[in-house]
Amino acid sequence: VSHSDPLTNGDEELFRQLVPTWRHEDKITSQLFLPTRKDEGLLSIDRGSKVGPKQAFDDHTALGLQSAGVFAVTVDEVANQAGLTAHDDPLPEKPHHGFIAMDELPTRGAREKKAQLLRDFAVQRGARYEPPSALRPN
Amino acid sequence: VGEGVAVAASFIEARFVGERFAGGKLPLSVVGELEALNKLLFELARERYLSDHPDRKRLPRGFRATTALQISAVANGSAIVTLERPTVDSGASDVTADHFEKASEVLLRAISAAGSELDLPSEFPTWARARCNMIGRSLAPDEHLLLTSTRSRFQARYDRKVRKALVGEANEFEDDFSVVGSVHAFDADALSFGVTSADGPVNGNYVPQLDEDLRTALAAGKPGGRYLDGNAPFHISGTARFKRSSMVTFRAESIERVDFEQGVVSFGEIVKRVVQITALDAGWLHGEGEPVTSEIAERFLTVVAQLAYRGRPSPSVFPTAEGGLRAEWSGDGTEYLWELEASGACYYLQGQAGTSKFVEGSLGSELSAADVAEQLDMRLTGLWDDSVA
Repeated sequence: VSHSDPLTNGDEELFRQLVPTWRHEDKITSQLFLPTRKDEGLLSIDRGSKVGPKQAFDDHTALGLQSAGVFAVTVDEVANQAGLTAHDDPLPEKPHHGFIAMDELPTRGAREKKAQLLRDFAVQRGARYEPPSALRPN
Repeated sequence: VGEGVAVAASFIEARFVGERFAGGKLPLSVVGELEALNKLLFELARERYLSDHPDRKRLPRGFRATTALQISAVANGSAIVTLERPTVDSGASDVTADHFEKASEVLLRAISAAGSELDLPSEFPTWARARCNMIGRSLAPDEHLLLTSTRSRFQARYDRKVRKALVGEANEFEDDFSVVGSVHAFDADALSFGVTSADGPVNGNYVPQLDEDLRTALAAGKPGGRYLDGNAPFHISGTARFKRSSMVTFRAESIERVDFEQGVVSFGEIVKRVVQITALDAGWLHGEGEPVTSEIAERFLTVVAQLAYRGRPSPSVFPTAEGGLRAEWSGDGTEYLWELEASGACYYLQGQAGTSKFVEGSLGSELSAADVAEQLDMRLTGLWDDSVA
């Protein structure tokens, strides 16, 4: 599958919305950065150069979807630490949409390992936006 | 290379002799017999280890991994199967070596003695004789299995006559027995109870001296015995009477509640968490996300209870997009996860932090929850093979 040219601005943040039940106590599952089967190896992100973390949160929840906060990795972490590429992929209803390509990874284990690495970067950075009313369900 | 399972040493040769095995052919039926042989060696080594370390309740890390024999070669002629044992490199002590070697030595001497109609070695327990029922079942009268210790070159011939001699008098015997499960039935007048274990229901009686608190805990068991309904896991141990390999009666002498000894949450909190997760509606994950069925949730908790008993730390628990449940935890620079998929199959992975090393695998949905827990305990070791990139 050919993708658009990889993003190159290493400082650009790439946002993921944390579904509330993917936090247990203080631990966030690495699934936050793992494409589901339906994603076919392309992990959706919101591009930080096009939308801020709060706006990304507001856009997401305005669709009636849940989020306990916005977490981010940078293009540099994706490319130089995880050895992956991130791409622009604007959608009509979501012009700031992009993805991290994991479709070339040969095994599920390889995807899981990358997801753990990206989750660790994101958790270390801390939530880029958390709603003031966010409850932390156990 | 860090600490880890590094090399495999040739441990035992099993030579199948008979027409069926000519040209190195190996019927699939013998694989189950080699597995039974491995299980018996493990149980003998385990008993020996715990007897030598009365202060320990559990096996040390790596014990299971280094007793999981592997077929390394099948040679021509009559089929000769070389079984090798994973060992550890110089970075870690080989906790298994002495006990496993001794276990195989005792087994081979017992087989040899049975074949010569001599007394069996005193170290060979009665329960192990009954287990021999599972080895050599497929051997025809004119076939035999020649077992050779790679280290001592001691040989023992196992055939139908030997099997009969070993198992024969062990038809009925009494032995220690324990089970992990939740109480689904209790009768204080009859001093009886029923436990739902990961392998199925177990019924028994208990001694009247059992502590009042524990009797109260047993009596609190809810019908059906499901963990999802709030039943707690117990480790119940005592004495059982067996006829061949089947348990006939079980008398419980001690009962203790099972919980995590490490980690931040209790088993009860894990149950609450899973109950919350089963309440999720379809679409919980950004409009996608399958709900988790109560069958999957109960199987998950049954595995969790078994792992808690085996000394594993409490995990964090999450639903998966496809209707499964996932346990994650970390320790000593390793990230662990196992996922019970909606099909009942299990995926597992251990990944070394800061490197690209990982080990993954899957376990079929046909396995019992007890077998899944045993396999996870054996495979999620935090030990690393040289071959892992």
